Amino acid sequence: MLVVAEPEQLPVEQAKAGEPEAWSVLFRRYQMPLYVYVFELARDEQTSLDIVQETFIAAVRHIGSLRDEAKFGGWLFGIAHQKCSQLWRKQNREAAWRGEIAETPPDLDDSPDELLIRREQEAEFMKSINQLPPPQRSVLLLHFVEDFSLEQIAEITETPLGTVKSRLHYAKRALRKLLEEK
Amino acid sequence: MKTPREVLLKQHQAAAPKLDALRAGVVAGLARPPAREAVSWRDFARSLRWHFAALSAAWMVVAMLNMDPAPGAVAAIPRDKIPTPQQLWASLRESRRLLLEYSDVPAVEPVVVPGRRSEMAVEQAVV
Repeated sequence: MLVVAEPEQLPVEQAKAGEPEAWSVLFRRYQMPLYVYVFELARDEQTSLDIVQETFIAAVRHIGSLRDEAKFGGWLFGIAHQKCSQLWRKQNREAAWRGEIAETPPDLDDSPDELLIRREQEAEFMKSINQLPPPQRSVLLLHFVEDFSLEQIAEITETPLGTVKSRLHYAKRALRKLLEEK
Repeated sequence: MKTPREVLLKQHQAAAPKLDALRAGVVAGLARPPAREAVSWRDFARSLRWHFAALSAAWMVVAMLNMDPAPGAVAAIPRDKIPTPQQLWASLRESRRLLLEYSDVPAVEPVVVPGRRSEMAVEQAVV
C-alpha cells in the first residue's frame, strides 16, 4: 500500500497574527531538530541554546517577511544557519567553513532512507558526523534531521544547488567510509 | 536499526527540558503586553517644562526682532524730490559713461566719411 505523507498543518497564519499559542506549537515542533542542527555545528551546549533562543526571537520579529507559509521550517533553519555562520566568522574559521572539495555535482544514486544505523553503530555515527568538514556536516544534518530537499537546503545555506549536491554526495560517501572502517 | 534522524534526536534528548524552558520564556514574552506606565497630565507637563521654557525664549526673541522701531525714524521722501523717469534715464546714461571711462574701454572711433570724388581728384592732382 502506498503511503503518502500529508503536509504538516502548522499554525503559521495564527503565529503571523501574533497568537502566542500558535508560536508555542511551532517552537515545540522545531525546537529539538533545530537544537540538534545547531549543536552539531557549534559543539557547545550553551552556545547552541543561545542560538536557538535568538532564532525564535528573530522568527517572531521577522515573521512578516515569510511569504510562503509552507516554507516555515526552512525559513527557521535559515535563520539558525545564519547565526551559526556568524559564530564561525567570529571564531575566524571562515576559511574552514567555506572550504570546498568539488563543485561538480555528481549523480545522486543514494537516497536518504538508505542509511540505517545499528544500535552498536550509533556512537560511531555521531563521531563520524563530527569528523566531517562543517559545510558537508551542515548539508547532511539538514538532510537527515528534517529531510529537506536539495533546493530547500540550497535556500537555507544560501549556497548554489550544485554545491549542495556535491557536498551531500561527498558527506554521505565519507560517512559510509568512516562507519565501514569502524 | 534506526534512521539517522532518530539517532540524532535520541542523542540530544537530554536537552529537551532546557528547550522547553527556553520556549516557555520566549512565548511568555509574547503573551505579556508591553508594559506602559500610567502617566498623569501633570507629570507629562512637568516632563516638558524645559521644552516650554525654550519655546518661550525663542518666541520672545522673534517678538523683539519684529518690534516696530520708533515712529519718524524713517523719513518720508517729499513728493517733489522723487525723480522723474527722464531724470532717472539721464542719470543711468551718465553712470554708464563714467563706468566705460574708468574701465578703459576704447572710445568709439569717429566714423570716416569719404569726401567727394571731385575733391579727391584735386588732392591727387596737387601731389
